[in-house]
This record gives sequence, structure tokens and C-alpha cells, in this order.
Amino acid sequence: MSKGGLDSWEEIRSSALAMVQEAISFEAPTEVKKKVVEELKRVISPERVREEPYIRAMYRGGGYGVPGRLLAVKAPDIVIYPNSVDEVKQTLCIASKYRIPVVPVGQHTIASASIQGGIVLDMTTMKRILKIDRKHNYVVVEPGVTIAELQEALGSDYIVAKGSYPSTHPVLSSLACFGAQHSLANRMWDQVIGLEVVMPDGSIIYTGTLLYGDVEHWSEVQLTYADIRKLFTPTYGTMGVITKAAIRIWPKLEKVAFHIFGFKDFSSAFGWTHAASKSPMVDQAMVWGWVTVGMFANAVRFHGLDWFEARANCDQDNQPKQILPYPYYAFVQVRGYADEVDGNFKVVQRLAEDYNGVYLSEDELMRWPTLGALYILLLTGYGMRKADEILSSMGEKMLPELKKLLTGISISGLEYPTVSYQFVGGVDEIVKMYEGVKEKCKELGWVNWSFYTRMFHYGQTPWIRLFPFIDASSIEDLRRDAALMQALLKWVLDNYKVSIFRMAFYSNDPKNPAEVYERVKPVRRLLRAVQSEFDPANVLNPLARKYTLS
Amino acid sequence: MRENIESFFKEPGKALLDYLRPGCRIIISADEHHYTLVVGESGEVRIEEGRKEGDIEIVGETAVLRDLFSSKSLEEFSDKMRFYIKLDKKPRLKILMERNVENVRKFMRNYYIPLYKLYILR
Repeated sequence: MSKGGLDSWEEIRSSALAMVQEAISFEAPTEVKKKVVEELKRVISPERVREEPYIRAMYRGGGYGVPGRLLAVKAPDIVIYPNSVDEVKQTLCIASKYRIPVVPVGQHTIASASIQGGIVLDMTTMKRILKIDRKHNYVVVEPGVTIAELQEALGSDYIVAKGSYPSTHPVLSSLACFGAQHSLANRMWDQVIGLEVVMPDGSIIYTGTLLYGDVEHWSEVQLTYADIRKLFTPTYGTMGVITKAAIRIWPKLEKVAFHIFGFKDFSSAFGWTHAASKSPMVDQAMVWGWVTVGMFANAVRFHGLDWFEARANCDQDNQPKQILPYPYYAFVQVRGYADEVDGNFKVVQRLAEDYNGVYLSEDELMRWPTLGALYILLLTGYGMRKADEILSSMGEKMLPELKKLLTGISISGLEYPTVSYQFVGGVDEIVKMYEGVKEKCKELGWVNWSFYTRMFHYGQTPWIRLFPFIDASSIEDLRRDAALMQALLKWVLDNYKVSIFRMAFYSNDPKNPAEVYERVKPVRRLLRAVQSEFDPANVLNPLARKYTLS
Repeated sequence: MRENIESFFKEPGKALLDYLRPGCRIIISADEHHYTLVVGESGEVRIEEGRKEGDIEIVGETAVLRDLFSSKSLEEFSDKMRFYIKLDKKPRLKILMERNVENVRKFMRNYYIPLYKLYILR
């Protein structure tokens, strides 16, 4: 593929749309569907094989992005609620026999549902916690177990990594399907240590700790036999259907702290997060612009019309001074034994001196409603601190409106942008890109966009997430803004050595994509060979019927 | 200038008019000159010379505002607006209403969408 080939954004977009159109135009003949339902009901109890329109409609997918929403997507024909590994196996065997596409669903969001009809396997009904091993710090769960359920079973002495996912989200889908992108990723990068997977031909694969039944000493197991866990995480369920997983857990340590610093420019704030995350004490380090802070921390609730005025007259480098004291904020999330956390506090303060960062103490944060709300948001969210605990430790210095946030009113922002793009790239490149994006967004007509960056370990490729506000009031506005966002996306990819999050292979050498494409080919061949072996009817990869990966 | 504003808001075919509700009062300030846009009970738009009572104010350079309001369509307006945003000449928004919850609702109801369409709130 030439550079020209990748350059033609419209071409890529229209071929992707064509593939989706192809997928959604799939239609199983009525008599086949009837037979499939009959066979399924014979092996799975009939009340768990559903085809009523109101049930099917709940699984109609489309994704989070504007293009996905604009696509006409198709609801599944049949929804299965399996109770056991055997029922998953039976479903896949019947689907393979009749070549019906299957989408395993681990959570109820539009991103995970069916776009091409066929069968949806709702895995949320398999929700047993099979084992809790506190001594070796792991659990064995079925895919439907939610973060809240596991947390309740473990009690408050343990942390279930959840990142920004809601507690109603299955614990496995955030780890297996999306990668370990949670707020403790620095020390819990490799979370899933064992898997049981049902393949479309009915065979069951065990890997990691589950290969030998259930082995407690999981760090050794990973060295003793080919470890193929990564074949299934994260593949969005296209290689097989996960029915059981061993997952690491983490005992809650004595102290969690968020040290927030104010900065005058993006480059310093970002450089500080990079330096600070050299310490393994740091779970994550982030930079938030003032618009992001205001948006997520309820500035509109505290400042009402002043906030709208600030948004309309927005300047990324000059915050509205009556609302926030600095244009950029960076923080580290630190967890450990109390004296370790206190020691790390000294370290990040020393590093901040090199980057002209100003430490914002708890007292200082509480003087600014929006910053106070940010701090509370971090403590209750990533910090998992309870509201009454926070009130008793610092309630006295809290403004009344901040106290309200902890006594019943939802903490989440009132405004929320509908679309975002995440880019990954080197540290220096992201600084360059940020400065460029400021100018480009102006050209496109967005001045009050927001962003955050996130970094887990030193040397890890950081990411930046951009949120242009899209408050479209009509479909024409939405289309126009979608086109502008595509223009921004293309401009960023063309001008900087960054790539869209989770599509990193495009970016290793963006000036020479053909070479990267060639290198990826054998990997695709290998994956395709595994798929062909276990999924000859392509039920988990319906697009592969026409569009082969090799 | 007054004619520019008048024809921009009165010209049929601009979806913007559909969103300006009766009772809306917008002051447009071009350097030293002020104009007050009033939407009457039956939806008719009236432009009055001078600074009258208003809920919000759009403040900009005369040349910029004249150019913007001489646009024949919202698309033309937004294209020009992007040009001025890039030059750091985007007209500023002042909200003149008293700061209370009731007025936040009023702002959302009466002005949010027109200001979005005019690229002021982006």
C-alpha cells in the first residue's frame, strides 16, 4: 500500500462503510432462522432463547462515534442468555452449522452490541464468582460478574480495578476487551492471568493459569508453556468466547493521595507527569486543561452564566481568572503504605520545581469550587474514598456547594461532549501536536474544546484525548461537526507522528505506512490461520467471508 | 451596519430565525455603535439603534461584525467566523443577565442554540 493509498481518507472511510453495509445486509432466510431457534431451544431452556423485537432492539449496536451513529445498524435476530459453558458451546456449534454470525456481549452498551443481525450471546447471565484467593491475590470469575459484585465479595480491603468504568460494568470486559486501561495500570498492567475460551467449533481452550486446572502460583505458570492469553485479549471476542477468567486483585494499601499542581503551559505540565511517573508508586499521572476541569467538575453548576461566557470567549492558555487560578493542571495518583506515599509527595514537589509547577494544597483547592470539585471527583472516583470519610476529614474547610456534591447530588459533570479522539505518540510529539491542534481547532471554529493526557509508567507511550464540544441541535449540525472532526483527525495523523489509540501500527512510521503494513501481514496471516482452524464458518468474523485478513 | 444586521436576521431561509424565541433581546456592539435586536411576540425581529435593555451582548470590531452580518447564509457566516477566530478576532459574548439559576435556564432556552449556530458558543 502506498502512502497515497492511506492518504485518501475518503477512500478508507467509504470502504469501511461498504464493509459495514455488507455486514448489515446479511439476512438469514426465515426457515433457517426458525430451525436455528428450534435447535437452540432444544439445548437451552426456551426462556433463555429470545427473539421478541423489544429484546432484540436492546442489542442493536452502532458504536460511540458520530459515523457509527449515523450508520443504519441492524438488531440481532436471536438473543441467547447462556447459563453454562456447555450452553455457549452448543450455541456456537449451531451457529457454525448454519453460518449465523455470533456477537458475544459482555455489557449493555451500544459499543458492544450487534451490527449485523445473527445471534447475540449475552454473557452477563454467567455471573458466578468461582474462587477468591486472597493469599495469591487473584479471583476466578465468569464474564458477567460486575465490578460492584466482585468488590462486594472482596470487601473493602481489596481494590477491583475499574478506571472510569461504572461499577455495573462486568469486571472482565473492561480488562479483556479494552485492555487494562484502568487507573491502577502502572502496577496492574497484566491483569488477566488465565482464561477459558469456547471456540466457534465447540472446542474449549484453557490458557495461562487455567491451563493446568487452576494454579495459584501464576507468575511461574506464565513461563512454563506457550502463553496465548493475548490471542483473546483484546480481540473484542472475535477469536473465541471467554467463559471464565482468572484475574489479579490488589489489596488496598494504607493510603491513596492525589497531588495536584497548577501550570502555566501544557509542555511543563506534561513534562512533569512524565517525570513523576518514573516512580512505580504512581498509579497514573494526568494533565487536564482548564476547560476539561470545568467540564468534568461542574463549573456550570457553580458558575452558571459566567461559565458559558468563559466558554464562548475561551482561550486555552488563559483561563477565566474568577473561575480557576491556572490554565493547566496535572496530578499524580499515588497509592501505598503511608510513609511511602508521604515520601513520594516530596519527590513530586521537587520535580515540580523543575517544571515551574505550583502545588495546590487541600486548603487551596477548597477555595476554588471547581478545583474542589475536581479533587472530590478524584478522591471518590479513582481514590474510591467514601463520601462520609471525605466529609469528616476535610468537611470543615469545604464550601457549602462542595459539601452538596458529597451529600446526594451526582458528582459527574452536567456537560459532556459526545465525541472524542484519543491519540498515542511520543512525549515530545504530543507536545508538538497539542500546540498544533490549538491552531487547527481555531481554524475549524472550535475554541472551547478540551483534552486530557494520561500516563501510567515512565517510558510508556502516553495518550492525549481531545473533546471538541458538539452540542449539535440538528442532524445538519451533527453532520457538519462530524466532517470537521474528520478533518481534524486527518490533519493530526498527516502532520504528527501519532496514531489513533489502539491502532498504533499505523503510526510507527506514518511517512512510510507501506512498510508497516507489510510487517503486519504475517501477524494477520497467523491470526487468520487460527481463526480458519477454529471458525471455518466465520461466525465470529462474518466480515471475513468476503474480506479476508491475509 | 444596522441594515446588515437587519437583513441577516430577517432574510428568510436562515434556520437561525426558528430558534430566536419571542422576548429575546440581544445587543450587538460594533466598537462605539450599539444595536439592540428584539424578537417580538409574533416572532418578528426588530433592530433598534442604541443600547437598550438586553440579555446578552455580542461585542466585536465594526469591520468584523459588518462582514459577518453581510453573509447570505449561515454557512457563509460560519466560514467567515472561522477565519476571524483564527485571527483572534472572534466577537466576544457578554451575558448581561443577573447570575441566578432561573437565568441559566432562560439562557439555555433562548440563546444557547442561536449562539451555537453563530459559532459564538463553540
